[in-house]
Amino acid sequence: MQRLTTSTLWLALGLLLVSRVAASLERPESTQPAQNYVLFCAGCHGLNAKGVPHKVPALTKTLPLFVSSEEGRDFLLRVPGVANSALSDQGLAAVLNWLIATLDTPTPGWTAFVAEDVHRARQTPLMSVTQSRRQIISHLPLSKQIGDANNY
Amino acid sequence: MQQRLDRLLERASRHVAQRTSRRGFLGLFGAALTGATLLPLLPVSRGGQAMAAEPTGANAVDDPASCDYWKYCAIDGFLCACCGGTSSSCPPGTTPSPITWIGTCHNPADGRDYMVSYNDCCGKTSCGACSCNRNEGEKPMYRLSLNNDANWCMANDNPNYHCSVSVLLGVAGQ
Repeated sequence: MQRLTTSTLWLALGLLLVSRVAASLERPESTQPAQNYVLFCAGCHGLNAKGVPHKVPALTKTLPLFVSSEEGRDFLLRVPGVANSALSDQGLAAVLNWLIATLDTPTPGWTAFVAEDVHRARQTPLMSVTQSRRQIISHLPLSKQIGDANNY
Repeated sequence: MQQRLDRLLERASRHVAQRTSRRGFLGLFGAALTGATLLPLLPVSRGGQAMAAEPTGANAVDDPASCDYWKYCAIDGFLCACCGGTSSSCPPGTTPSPITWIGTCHNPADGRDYMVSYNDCCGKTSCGACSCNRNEGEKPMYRLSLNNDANWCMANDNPNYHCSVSVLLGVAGQ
């Protein structure tokens, strides 16, 4: 049942793929990244960005790990929630940078995202999200490998 | 008497054997099993939309049990305030959905827009009281994060939908 529910969630996120046209009809995004996070991301990832165990990944865990490698950054910009978001490239870059900067987990030496990074990567949304995620985690140093590689 | 009963049962058994097949029964049973499994995955009918209350829009109401209450501007479901909970908390025995959709509502009392989280309360069968269907800013299912027809209990251990709440998250600025 849990497997089924997780599949349903991915299916739902996949449905967002067809919705890019509707983006312009929605409310304008704010100039404040914190507010954009609440209105465009927190519905699934939660106000504390901790997600839902086995259902929605915790950004508090994965962002600091993934932002340090090229493949991790590419993944972050191509996951369904980011690539299909109604937020603009600039708005998305600002939300990601704000999130990383405000996380409790220290993230030394990371490079901020810019709108061009987001624009380029979101043109090719990920199809095999779980597989890509598992691969990136397996490339991390052993001490940083999180135990939920097969959960999402 | 016993012989007559035997003959009757024999005739009935032969009748069934000649007119039905074991495969036919298996097919029917299989279809029923599949149907019963798929039924919970269908979109939730939130209490019959034809009968759902629509906002009258007459006067600004400050009653959490009324569909006209300002912060219900995009709610679709049974109001938890009528189901043993409040406008922002779930009734006992139910659990708020950890995933939800978040929108904004205009508060006529102070003229400001507020961010509102529409959580479903899950774990019991439908409450059935105070059905309310308002759709300001709501989007079709293909924009799932802004849709109020989805069963947001889908990520709960018990995905039964009971009622909906509107939780204020703060003032929406520019």
